[in-house]
Amino acid sequence: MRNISIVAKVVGVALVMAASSQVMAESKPAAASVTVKNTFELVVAKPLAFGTVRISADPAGTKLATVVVPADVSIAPSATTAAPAAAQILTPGEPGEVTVAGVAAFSNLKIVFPSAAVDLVPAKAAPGSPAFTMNTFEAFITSGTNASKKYAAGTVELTADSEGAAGFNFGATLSTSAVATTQAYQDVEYSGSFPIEVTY
Amino acid sequence: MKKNVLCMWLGVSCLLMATPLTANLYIEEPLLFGTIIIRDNTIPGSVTVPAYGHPSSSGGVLILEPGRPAELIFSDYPPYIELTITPMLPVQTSVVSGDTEQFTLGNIDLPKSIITDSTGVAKVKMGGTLKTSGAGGYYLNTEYKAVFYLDVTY
Repeated sequence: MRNISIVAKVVGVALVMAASSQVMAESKPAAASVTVKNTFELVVAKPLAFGTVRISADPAGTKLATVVVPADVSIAPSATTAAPAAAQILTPGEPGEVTVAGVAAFSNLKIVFPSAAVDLVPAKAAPGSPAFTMNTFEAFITSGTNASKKYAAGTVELTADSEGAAGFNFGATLSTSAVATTQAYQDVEYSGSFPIEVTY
Repeated sequence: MKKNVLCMWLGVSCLLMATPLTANLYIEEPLLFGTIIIRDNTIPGSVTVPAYGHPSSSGGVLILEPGRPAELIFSDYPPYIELTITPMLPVQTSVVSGDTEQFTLGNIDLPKSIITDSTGVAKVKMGGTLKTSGAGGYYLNTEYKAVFYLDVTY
């Protein structure tokens, strides 16, 4: 009986020692998440308008008359005649306006205009009638740290504000047709579309 | 007869003592890396949410909406013991659907060990770093999740 008690005590102590020195290990699941949003809102709040012009093309398509609408609203639109092509502004045009929202706060954005000229044509045109071409796009920043400056890729960037918004105006140069034609421009609206790309 | 009773008692005791406590891990707040923009995935980039402090990003990653660290509660542990927590990393994220580049969760910002209180509870904040592939592929506009395990020893 006494032996049993001793055995029990020894085993008991051994168990306590074993329990106290036992290392418990377990794995618990956890999770993490992230959301990617590479897109943002870009709205052309106002299209670029060259106004109303009196204009004629060089029948040979050699000389080009131009109408310039600067992106900076403080600079008036101008027309340049190159006889026999001629251009005269009747009602001045206005630069287009673009607003950007939902971008990363204070991020620098690049503006990419078409590298090739864009044609402006009437809704209905007679065969061989002249069109306009639009090129030399430019942007004028209207918000952020570089507000009131002409955009220059790599040097004067479009910068988003603390709310992730930015804005700029854009202008371009309208030229008469460089294609030989015997027809005159019609008294109608000429229009064209082109992409404006804003990227990080 | 008495020996048999003793052996049975010892056997039951051994079983009871070998059974681990039913400890729990409650994730009061999950680890969120927020909403980010992958501006350029041709270079390595990352977003870091520290356990304490402000989220930051590097490389081609921009933060649109900052994330926040997780808040973990370890409960039903013995009182006043040291828990050693080891994240089983790295793991890759996954999406519900779509073919896209994935992130790698390669680092967790967590104290290596914590001490439970008198009630066997320990609270801790957990941050981490998520890395982009940097392989030039495209990331879909969607939510990415990473599931990983925390090894808890005491």
